[in-house]
Amino acid sequence: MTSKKLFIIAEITLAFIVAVLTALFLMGRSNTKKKNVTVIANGVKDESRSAFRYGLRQAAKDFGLELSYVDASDTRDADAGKALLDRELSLGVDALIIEPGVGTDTWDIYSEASKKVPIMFVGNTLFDTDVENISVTEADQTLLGRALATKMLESYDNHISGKRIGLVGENLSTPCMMERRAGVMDVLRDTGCEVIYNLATSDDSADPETSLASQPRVDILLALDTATCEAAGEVSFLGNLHHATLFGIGDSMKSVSFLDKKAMLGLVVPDSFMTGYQSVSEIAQKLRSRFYTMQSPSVTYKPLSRSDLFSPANQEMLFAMGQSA
Amino acid sequence: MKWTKKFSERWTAFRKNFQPWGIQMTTMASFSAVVISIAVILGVVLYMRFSTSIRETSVERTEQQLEETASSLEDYLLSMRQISDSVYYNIIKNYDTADTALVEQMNLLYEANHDKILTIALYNEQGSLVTAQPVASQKEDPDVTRQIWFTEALDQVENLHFSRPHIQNLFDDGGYHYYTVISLSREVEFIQNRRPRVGVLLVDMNFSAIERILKRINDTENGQYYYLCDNAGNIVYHPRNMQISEGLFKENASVDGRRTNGVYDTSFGGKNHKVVVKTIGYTGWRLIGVIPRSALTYGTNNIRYFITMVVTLTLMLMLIVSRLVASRISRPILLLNDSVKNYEAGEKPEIYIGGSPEIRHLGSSIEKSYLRIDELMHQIVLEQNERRKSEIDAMQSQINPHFLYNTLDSITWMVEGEKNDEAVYMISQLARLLRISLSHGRTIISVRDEIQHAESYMNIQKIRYKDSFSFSMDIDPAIGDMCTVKLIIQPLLENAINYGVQGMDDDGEIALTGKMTPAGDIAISVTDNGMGIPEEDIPLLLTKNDRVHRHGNGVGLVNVERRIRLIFGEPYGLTIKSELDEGTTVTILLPAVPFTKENCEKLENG
Repeated sequence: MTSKKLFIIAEITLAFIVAVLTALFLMGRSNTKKKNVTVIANGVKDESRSAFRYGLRQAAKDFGLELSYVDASDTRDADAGKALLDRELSLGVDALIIEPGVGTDTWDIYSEASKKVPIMFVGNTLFDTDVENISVTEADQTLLGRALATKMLESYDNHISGKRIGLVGENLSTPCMMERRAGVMDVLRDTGCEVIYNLATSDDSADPETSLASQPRVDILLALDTATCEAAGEVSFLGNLHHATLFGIGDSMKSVSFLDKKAMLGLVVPDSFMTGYQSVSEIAQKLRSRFYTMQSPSVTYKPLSRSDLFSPANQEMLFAMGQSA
Repeated sequence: MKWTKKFSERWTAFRKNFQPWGIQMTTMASFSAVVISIAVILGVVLYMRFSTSIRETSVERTEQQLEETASSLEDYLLSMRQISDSVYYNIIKNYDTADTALVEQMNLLYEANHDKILTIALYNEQGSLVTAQPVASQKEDPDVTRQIWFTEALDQVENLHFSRPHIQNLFDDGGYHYYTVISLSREVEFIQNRRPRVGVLLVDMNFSAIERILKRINDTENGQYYYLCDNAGNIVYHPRNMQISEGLFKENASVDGRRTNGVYDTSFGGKNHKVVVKTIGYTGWRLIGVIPRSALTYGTNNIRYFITMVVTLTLMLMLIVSRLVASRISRPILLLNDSVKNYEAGEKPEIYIGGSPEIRHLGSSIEKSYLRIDELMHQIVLEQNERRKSEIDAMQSQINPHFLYNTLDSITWMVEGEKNDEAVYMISQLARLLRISLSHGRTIISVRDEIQHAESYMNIQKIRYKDSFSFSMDIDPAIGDMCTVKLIIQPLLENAINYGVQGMDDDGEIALTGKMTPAGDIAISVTDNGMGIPEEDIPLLLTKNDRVHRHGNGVGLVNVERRIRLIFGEPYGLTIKSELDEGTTVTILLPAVPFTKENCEKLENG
């Protein structure tokens, strides 16, 4: 090979290397821009969602993502839900974390969006996950229901024969609530107690406190979600629960305060911090590699009594629930 | 083993067929190798220096940050101590707890510092609340005596105790908020209803103040973070405290919390870190800065690409420059090489003369060499032609028919005259003469043979000329075994007879002498006492000048001189000395070359 040929080959090779390095250099600079994730949930900015938001925030910092929140409380039907999604997509969001709300219970409004951006659902899922093959981060709802009923039984030394039980939740027809209720009923079976009512506060035009106060007398009231936990706790604290003992599933500081004030005898707290953290973690991995298949992480829960509420083991959980912003 | 043999064969074939690089390629490759080495070394050194500098700067910055933050924390904790001291020494020690002034004073102090502290409370040793600011209803059974701040204060009487952050579980403010606090507690003596009592003074600091200080320095993008722990490694503040409690993150606080101030290289969780430790006064807490390896190299990827890009661009440029330089250096050499090739291919010797002075010198030297070669070749051809011609002339003279006829005539006359002895003598001399003349075709014979040839010739001539002249010989025996060209003396003797002594009446004398010269050469002289040669004619005798009258074919002296010089070279040959009416001496000068087989062959072959 002549020296001229060798020279030309060497120059072309070096020019190619320079081109590759330039591309890597420019890519490195552009990669500093963070990916944007929008969280759509009911009351996402409420104080009751502090632990959840804290988990989202910590994960966003760990994985280098930007978070924005959209309160979906006003989304009452599929059209509004679709409009909300379309708006976020048009703003160039890179991923969505969604807690489907009432009225947005059809997969269709999410199917188009899921083709464009990764979507992670959190809690309160409305969909049959086996059919739709979607990713959900949540606690095992059935186990939550069982834990609530078990906590109640422990308080009564397993003797609740003849007791009258009331069940209350915001919307008892959602799959989430149905599973929780099923878990409760699993434990209550063959205990000799009687479920007097199943109250869905969203079905009633009156406020939850009024609805509860107007229900028949029960010995034990089981609140299946945070909203009804807080409402029932308020009623119990004011002494309007007709001496019923209250047990609930809730992850807000208000729920905890009712336990502390003895308005509630037992509280099962789903780990909302982990719900937020794990949902962002899965999204981050999907954004890093489009070939990654998002998982459906299950989060744990903690049954609490007043006696161990402020124990060292629960300090972090309470700290997360107390985080603002 | 087969593959080794195969490899060896291939390697040998490669080495055999390997063509060494041309000068341009070698020059370019050398320049390029130097440039590449320098560029790579420079790039590596620059990058390493830069990386080291970044690492050192990161550590220095972290240490500085730690100093500043530790100072802020110490100021804050000092102010807490001062509040506690102030409550104890200025209020509790001076007032009975039943006195409303105590409450007023405590309230004043609280109001002055309410942005920092949540609660100031005094408990007796049974855990009952004595007084507190702000005023709030105590929770039902907060179980104070089992809370750590209370038990530690009573266990270690002399010290102030800073607790770890915890949710305050003492008061009910009517709302749904709980506060994370750090409790500063100490055992105190107070007066209650004029009775001295022992209790615990509690100052609950709002943890958010410390949180704010540390959140500010944890706002980094490169993975570096800071946390606070006590000297047992229990975390006070960590930006990933929740992740640690959930098992999502691990921290080496139990080891780092026990270190003294300084910078440490550690490895934890399979990753290398630099850890900077600073002790916070009053508490013994450790403020720890963790710099993961990735933080030290944060942003260096782009620098790495940039440096490599610059080095590669430099290489590209230097390759072009080295090619131009190599081309400029090698061009005159290549042109010179091409012109030499053209000459070797048979074209005219137009050798390239150009480029640097050295190449010019080479070119002109080559050109001169080629011209000289041509010259010498031409000269050799001429000499070979001359030699051939001389040999033909000598051959011609060695069989001079007139001399032969005359001698045979003389022999016939002697036989007819029944002078048999004389005839036999003449025949033997003639035979000897002819034998030596022929000498088996050789050109080089011994001096002895040449003298014998001359003697035989003179013996014949003396008889023919009826002893009209005398002939003497004085030959040094030492020269007998030296080499000479044959038939060089006879022509001189012939000239001496024909031009020297012929016509003289029995007075003619011809002498033949041979000796070694002082210089080690051989000098053979033929002297006659004839009429001599005019001085102006002497130089012309050794030329082919027609002005000089010659007998016979006229080639004698010229032929002898030429043949001697052809064989022995320029310094040798004939010299002629003559004086009119006195005589002439012609001297043959030869080198003293011993008559051996090798010497003969060398001289015969030139």
